Amino acid sequence: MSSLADILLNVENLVKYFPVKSNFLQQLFTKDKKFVHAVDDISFTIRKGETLGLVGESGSGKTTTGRLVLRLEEATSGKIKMGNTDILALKPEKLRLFRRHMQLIFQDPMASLNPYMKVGEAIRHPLSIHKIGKNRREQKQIVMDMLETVNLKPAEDFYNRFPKALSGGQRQRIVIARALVTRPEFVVADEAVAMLDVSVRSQLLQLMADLKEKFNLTYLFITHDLATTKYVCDRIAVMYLGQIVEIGSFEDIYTRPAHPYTQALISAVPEPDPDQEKNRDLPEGEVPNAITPPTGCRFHPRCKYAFKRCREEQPERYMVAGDHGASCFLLENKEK
Amino acid sequence: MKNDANRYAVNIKRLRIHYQTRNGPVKAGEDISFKVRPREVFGLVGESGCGKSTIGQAILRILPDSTRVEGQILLDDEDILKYKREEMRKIRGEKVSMIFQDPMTSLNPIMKVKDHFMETINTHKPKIKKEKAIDMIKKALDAVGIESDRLNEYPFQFSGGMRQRTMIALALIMDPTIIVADEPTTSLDVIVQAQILEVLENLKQSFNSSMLLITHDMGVVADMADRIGVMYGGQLVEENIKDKIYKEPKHPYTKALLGSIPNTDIKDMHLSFIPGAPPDLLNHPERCRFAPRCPKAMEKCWEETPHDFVMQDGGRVRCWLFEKESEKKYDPDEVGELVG
Repeated sequence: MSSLADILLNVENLVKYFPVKSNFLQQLFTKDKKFVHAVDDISFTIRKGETLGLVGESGSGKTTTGRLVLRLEEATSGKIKMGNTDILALKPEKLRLFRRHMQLIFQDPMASLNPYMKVGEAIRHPLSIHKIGKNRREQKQIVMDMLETVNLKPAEDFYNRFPKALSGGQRQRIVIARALVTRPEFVVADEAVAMLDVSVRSQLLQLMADLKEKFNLTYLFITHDLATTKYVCDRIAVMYLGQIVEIGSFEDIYTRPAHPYTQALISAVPEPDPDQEKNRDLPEGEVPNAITPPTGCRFHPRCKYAFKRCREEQPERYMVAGDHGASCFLLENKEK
Repeated sequence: MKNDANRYAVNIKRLRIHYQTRNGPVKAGEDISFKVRPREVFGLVGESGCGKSTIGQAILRILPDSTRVEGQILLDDEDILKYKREEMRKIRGEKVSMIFQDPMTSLNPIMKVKDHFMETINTHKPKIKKEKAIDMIKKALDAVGIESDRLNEYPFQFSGGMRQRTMIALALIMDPTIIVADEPTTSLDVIVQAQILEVLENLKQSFNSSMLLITHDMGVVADMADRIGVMYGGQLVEENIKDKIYKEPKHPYTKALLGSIPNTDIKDMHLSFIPGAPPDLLNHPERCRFAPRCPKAMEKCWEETPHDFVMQDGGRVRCWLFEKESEKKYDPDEVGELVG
């Protein structure tokens, strides 16, 4: 087990409810305000130099979790500590300065790059915000080095281009360069490769793994695609309807999934192998809405093992072995 | 063996599709030929911009008017590229139908689910009795796993998976010769995707339609397809029965593509990638389109577009490496028996 000193990010009982917009009449006639339970009481830690994969289907709360950790979204309750800094307690100006230590890589490079800004300038921008580098010339040099690092060579050539003149993979490299130019310790990658074609996607996964080594990064790697986590993640947390249902090393999750939802998720991945025995064990129906999540275990309406207790109580996280834990009453005889 | 007239559901010969743009023609399809037999699922795979959706749209004739389309698309032995607008309208939905990627934008939000079906049925069988039509709808919905008492609901009351099931039922209702399914599961979550694939697979057993399954995901076609055509840069670079494509890929692109797909096997931790990016199809020069990214590119690859070589195992591959091995060039007019 790791000592406390190794832990870079510590998230405890994090909760985010979004109020559901209702019109005036609805407000008059209903007492209870409705909320989307986007993230509901999740806890996890990420060690220094580790990549935690956050996997789940759309609406599971994985993106919200990433945004909460970076405080792009204010949490309803809970604790987030990065090193010794209490992220949720930072005052606006402090937070702004602290942002250089934690960055975000977005999914869609076309939407996150300004089409009228030369890509070199886009990468230089964070440097001037955080006053890194003595003057423009020094900043430009930092940007050039960064461009080389993400394999956009010759850097001089790329510096003056506009996003439109780049391919999808090159744009995503720019987004990565911009996120890393302030030398953050912690990076949230939210579906960073989802938009790219397979042949280019694997290039980017490799690049992200190389950069992690080079800059000593810690990643929170958010994805809907379980199969890509294998190449970058040390540990994986599986989310379902705002909760983490299972967390463990990627080997544990792939080979010994303990939670019925994780098992279903793995069996549903379409394997590029026609011989593979398809014993798909798919749950019925689809994810219920997060405004009125099911009572008890949130997966129980779709779970074939569900019994009475699952409908009434929320399961705690039981440890299967070492670091591997899952929230399911089937594992009750294990340690909490 | 059936007579020649019905041997292929769709027979595409030397199809060439150029989008006209201000900067010149975008060559989205160059010399594309392939055949889909009755009841067969033909998987058309490739990355974005390879021209796979363009082919699907060409079969439905829903490309923009300015597009230049040459060659032949034989549907039940009739060249639909020669059809007039009105004639094409008649066979859309009846002989050829389409399942789109995004079910929400392809269903009309202010039309009941039932009325979507009614519209199709009434267009093709205007004299049908209403009860009989409702029966047909119920049967189709049942086949995709939707309870028939929901046919008076609106699309927004359906979940994403159910909407896509509805689209499938809608495509099947007239028992068409071929269904073009363009990325039918791409916008869905993995579990729902697997559910929909199961539905499609069950339908394959019980229906007479052929399917052209267009996808970027080699995992999706691994189950469903009988034959697979791999596309790259507007050309069909390899075609063969499914097992051969996965186990003995020939074209360097097919090999590289298979190598770069993530799987869930933890013993297999190597992920190779293809350097560079897909080609720009605007004013593309005469040469192998994969040459700039190909580890085995020779001088010839940079000078001449490779021929379509027929291989011993019945497959075909568009690559100069196979020039010596191959017996002949592929001839789309030849009425040969397909392997598999």
